[in-house]
Amino acid sequence: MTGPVLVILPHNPGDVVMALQAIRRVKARHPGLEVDYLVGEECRDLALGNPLLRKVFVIPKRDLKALWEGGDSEGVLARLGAFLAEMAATRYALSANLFQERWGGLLQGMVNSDRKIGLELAEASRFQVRSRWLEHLFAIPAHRAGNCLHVVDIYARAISQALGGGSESSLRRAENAASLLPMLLRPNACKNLAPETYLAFHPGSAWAGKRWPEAHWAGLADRCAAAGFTLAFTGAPEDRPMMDRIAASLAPRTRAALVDCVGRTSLPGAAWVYAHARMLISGDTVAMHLAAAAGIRTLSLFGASNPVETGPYGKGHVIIQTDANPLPDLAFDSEHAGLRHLRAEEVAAYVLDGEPPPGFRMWETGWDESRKAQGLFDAQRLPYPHPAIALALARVLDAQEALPGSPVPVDRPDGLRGRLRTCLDKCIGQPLDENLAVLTAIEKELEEETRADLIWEAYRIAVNGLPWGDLRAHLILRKARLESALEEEALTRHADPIA
Amino acid sequence: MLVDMEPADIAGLAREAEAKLAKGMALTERERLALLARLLIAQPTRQERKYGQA
Repeated sequence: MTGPVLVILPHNPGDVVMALQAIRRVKARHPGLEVDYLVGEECRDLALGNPLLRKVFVIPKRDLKALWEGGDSEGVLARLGAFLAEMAATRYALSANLFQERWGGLLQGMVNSDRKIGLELAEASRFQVRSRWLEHLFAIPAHRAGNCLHVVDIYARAISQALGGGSESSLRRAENAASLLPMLLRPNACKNLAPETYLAFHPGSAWAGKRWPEAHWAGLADRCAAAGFTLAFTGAPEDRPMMDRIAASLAPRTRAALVDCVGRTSLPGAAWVYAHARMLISGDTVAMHLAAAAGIRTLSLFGASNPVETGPYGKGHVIIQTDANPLPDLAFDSEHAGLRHLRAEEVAAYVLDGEPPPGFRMWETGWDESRKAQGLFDAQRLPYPHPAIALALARVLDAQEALPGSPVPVDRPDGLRGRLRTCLDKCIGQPLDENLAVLTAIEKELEEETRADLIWEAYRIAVNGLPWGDLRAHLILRKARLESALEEEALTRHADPIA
Repeated sequence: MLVDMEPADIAGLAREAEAKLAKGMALTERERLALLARLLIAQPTRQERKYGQA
């Protein structure tokens, strides 16, 4: 398959940067591949003019909202229809919907593409997720800590596999950082910043659970300024009140060393600030992803989120993880106790003297050649999570164009999994109501047992999307998906040296 | 609330589309467009939830 390819991931800025990183990885393997991108208006600056992309479709949300607020139904439908028609004018070899919201699936259903992966509203009007890698992605919220791969690697592997490149073993690490972002222009607010002389700070985040306390930022700034550093603060316009509070509490000497860019740059402008800094210090935010994309070293302070999954992508970034148990869903809305306990002097000791903060886990990002993916490494260079887990998972998901042909051992014939397999066989032979009722009961029991399990959540997502038009065909596909989950479970559990 | 300003025709079409989806029925082109418009416009993104409507 040679393309063109359409990638759909319109929001949020950090996710868009990670999608671009995945595209770069795929293009390192397929240099001539033409990639188009569908983006939301607030992220357009990251996509327009990006050397990785051929064409960018910007969702005309402002136009649509103006028509909507004017009560013009026909106008909304006509404008949206025209936008989709423009997109459908290109026939794609592949469209990859990496967006996890429902309207992305609706939109994916309207794309003119020979092959589609990701969430889609299919012809039978059922939402389904095509691609085992993307099923895995959708299942991650069920068990965040159970995911052992960075989302950039998940995106890249899903696209690579669908392009027919086989397993990830043929995907290389993409080194050329300069080609990842549009041209970076120095913002006016930073005209006095001398490259390579300053530290960049990004204290804000869309989520309270990812924000280090303001007083801690002020304490870190005072210590770094006392050590002679200029400090460039970045942020969204809405971060202005927070920045004013931080600035008001700084020592006079720090205020003199401060270059306040908060609300005064575009996203590429902020990327310029990071690209010329000695280091960026931030939470798990778009700033971290932009700085990593620009190839600059980052120090990231993680609270509720999981650095394995959405940490800075690239080599040599440092992460302080203040919580060993990432939240099981995306509820990052409340302040994070772990971040509050990480003190300013502890972060300053690392920034200025390289001393790790006692009592917190600290990782450095690195490339794990054995599994062709990013890994986290501790001070002894021990990888986290254990690479065998990721290897086993990748082996199953990479192989999942063809479903496995031979059954794999199940715990016991009378165990839950064995009963499910037997019942499915029975239903395929005799799809009677009483057999289907037993099937539903066993699946419910299994769901109770595996509610927070990534493999089984992916199984449930897949089963939910299987067409029902022909019951027997549905059951056969369901059985095949069960065998695949059992194989994945057997391999992953076997590979886990901790379990 | 933006959804309060929703044009009545789109609201009706989107409701129809949701009902059909629940029954596993295929949607018409207009129903798909109406549902997409509703989800796209009325549901704020994560950034918008924090920073207000873009």
